[in-house]
Amino acid sequence: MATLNDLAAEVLERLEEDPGNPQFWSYEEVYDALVEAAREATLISGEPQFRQTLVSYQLQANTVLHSVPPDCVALLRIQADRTLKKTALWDLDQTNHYWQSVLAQTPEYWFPFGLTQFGIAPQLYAPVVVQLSYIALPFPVHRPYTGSEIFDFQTEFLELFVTMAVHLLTFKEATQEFIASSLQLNVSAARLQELARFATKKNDLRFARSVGARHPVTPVEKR
Amino acid sequence: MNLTTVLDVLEQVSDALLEPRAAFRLTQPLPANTAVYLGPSYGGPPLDYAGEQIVLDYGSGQAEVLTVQSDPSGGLYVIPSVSHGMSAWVRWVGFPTGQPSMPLWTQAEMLDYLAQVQNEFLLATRCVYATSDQSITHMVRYYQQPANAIRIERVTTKSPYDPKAPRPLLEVSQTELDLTDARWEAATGEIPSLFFQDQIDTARFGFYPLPSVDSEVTLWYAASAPASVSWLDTLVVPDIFSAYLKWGVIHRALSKDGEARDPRRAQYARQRFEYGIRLAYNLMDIAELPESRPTRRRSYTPLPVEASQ
Repeated sequence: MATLNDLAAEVLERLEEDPGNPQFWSYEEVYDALVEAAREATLISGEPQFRQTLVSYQLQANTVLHSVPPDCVALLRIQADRTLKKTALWDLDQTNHYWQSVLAQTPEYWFPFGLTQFGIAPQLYAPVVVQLSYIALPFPVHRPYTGSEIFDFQTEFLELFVTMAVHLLTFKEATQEFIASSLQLNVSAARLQELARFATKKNDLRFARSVGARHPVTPVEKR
Repeated sequence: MNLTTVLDVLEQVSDALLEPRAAFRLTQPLPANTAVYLGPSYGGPPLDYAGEQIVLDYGSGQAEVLTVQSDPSGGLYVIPSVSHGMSAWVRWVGFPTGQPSMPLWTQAEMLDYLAQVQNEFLLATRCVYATSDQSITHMVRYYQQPANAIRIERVTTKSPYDPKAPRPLLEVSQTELDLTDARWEAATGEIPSLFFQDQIDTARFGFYPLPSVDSEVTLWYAASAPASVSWLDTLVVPDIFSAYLKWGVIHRALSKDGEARDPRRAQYARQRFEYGIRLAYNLMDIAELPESRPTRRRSYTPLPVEASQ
């Protein structure tokens, strides 16, 4: 697995810097650019490995709203003893005005409440541990980065982060180099598009009953 | 809880604008309540100018923001309020170019930009929500929404005021109420059944029928960020969008009058910021934000009756 530091050296070389003694850019700046590139890739693709992240999470009793884990970008799926059905707050209100008064042993529905919270229905008599699947934040650590953080993308996509970081870093040159680097941005965007396509394909296959066959997802799942 | 602080974002802004900044670990401890003249003997550069704000012990529970002071001979120092051990982080983003008389940018200006950018992002995306309780006073129809509310999305009654609580109040418009009953303003009831936000000040909302007793409701709303920020504040916008806030600040910094003006790069920065907003829209389609769904669009049918009745 490549680390931030591994890619940073490559970025500096492309910027005509000596990785051993960079002058115009610091390693801290390069790490920031690489993290920005990785996070943008996650926002665009939402996949591949990130979506598979599973954590155990305790749903509290007598509580509708819960906070997502700190490294959660978007919650996708919740599983208790069975998969919870994803719905919307508005749908719950339209179905049963008194859904917030209902209590049960296990939740049946979940709904997003923005990107930082989610709700469950019905509320619980007692805490229940569930599994969450979500798009996870790349590099969920405080700045400044040490350089040893792992770049959790497949090897064939790593170069796109280098080219994108090079483009972002040339901004401060404010010269022809910056304008010329827009080409690099286009190259990166094309690679990101490939990543997104590949991620979509994997997503469909994730629900496959047999290898290579698509599972017919319901409109609710598709939403 | 977000990881990214205001300092994190403005450090990146400083790098992009070629403004010197400091980030080093102390090579000797700092005593509390004693003037400290930071410089090479502590492992870092000297302080830039009087009035500059710096952060000591960044990333620890002892972190504090200090303002640089000047002694009669022009020496610059800070006075920590608590002691800080060796290897504690010292970081500051002073935007020192032109200080103190002709600065290109100031720290206060950049903090303002970031506060504005964060709220612009939240207003555009409404990706963060909150709840809070609101007391209802009898015979008072209109109320001020919470200070950090952009728009109220849902209102529910609270027990013990309502035996059926919690239940949602339906949102209507005053036009719908007018079409249903031209004398609706005269109606009173113990617990409101509807609320509206139109044709009054954008920061207010009202109830129907007019409450005849005191009670309480819970407001569910899209949240904004504080109007001002400090160096150690964490962002309200989720971490994954922090880079786009940086571009929003750079856009403002390069758009101002004077030597710093650079329309071409300012435009680029603006496009990056707006790109972040578009990405947030995409993400919220995944997360299925209620109001982004077509079914949320209300038909123009006046139906001020609860569906369950």
